Amino acid sequence: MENVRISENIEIPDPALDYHGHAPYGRILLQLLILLSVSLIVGMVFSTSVAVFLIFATAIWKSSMVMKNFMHLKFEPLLVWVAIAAVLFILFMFFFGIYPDITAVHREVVPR
Amino acid sequence: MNLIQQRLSVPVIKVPQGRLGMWILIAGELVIFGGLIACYLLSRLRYPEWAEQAAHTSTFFGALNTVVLLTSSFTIVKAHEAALKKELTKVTIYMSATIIGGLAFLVNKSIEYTNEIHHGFTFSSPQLQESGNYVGSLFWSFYYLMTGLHATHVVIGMIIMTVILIQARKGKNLHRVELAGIYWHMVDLIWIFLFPLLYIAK
Repeated sequence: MENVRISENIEIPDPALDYHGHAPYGRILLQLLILLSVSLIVGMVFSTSVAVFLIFATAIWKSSMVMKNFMHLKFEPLLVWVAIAAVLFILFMFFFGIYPDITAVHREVVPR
Repeated sequence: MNLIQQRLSVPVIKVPQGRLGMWILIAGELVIFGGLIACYLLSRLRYPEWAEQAAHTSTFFGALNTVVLLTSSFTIVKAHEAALKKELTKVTIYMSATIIGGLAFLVNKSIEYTNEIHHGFTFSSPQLQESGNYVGSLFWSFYYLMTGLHATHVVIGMIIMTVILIQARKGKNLHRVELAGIYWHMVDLIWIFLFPLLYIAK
């Protein structure tokens, strides 16, 4: 990839040369819409716990498809992956760190 | 070559500054929305009564907005593809379609909000509070906060897209089409998680 120098300190990539390959976007959109339909059907058919599990599994699948194919994450350097992974790790720590305080303690935080 | 070796083979110095900046912005946005989603999930586990309130959200409008956002993600990535080939007419068409998609999302959301407010489901809903259902009222506070913040991001995306479209039509700053696209996909990603949380898991 070649860069175009527009001032002494700033360089921008030449869009014509910043080509990292493109997935069959139409097919990916179709797959995303099919997954959406699946999650809607699952929500109506299965029991709550099974439905919630399957619905979130399809949501994670859909988001990974968007990140991989639309956002081209697979072409980014390790630094970008580390930044995203660090944020997700912090979120998981936050969630599981306060999980017992919210769910396991028998206390009315908000009056019913 | 494994995945880590592949990623290490891409030198950071070659990543365009704008794209790197967008990824840092996305990491920040993930903290904001991820934190909100985590709080929502914890509260939902703590208060099973929220399911009663979630039953009042419109799955039809939620699904329709998901289709709109997924399609607009498709159009912006096609605009990026066209920008790389310097096909300015296609860039204009696809970016305009994305902006229209954003507008359609906001129109749907407005109709949905109107229906919910009309039925008394508001921030700290007086109707629910009078009946002593403070927990139910809390659900709607979360609902409006999360969907409202997301809709604000849609509006910001549309403004950014309009500015970039004006430049791209003249063949200027075509690399920014990709940056607008990455932002728009992030908005789409957030909705992919908000939709099952608020509209399907009842």
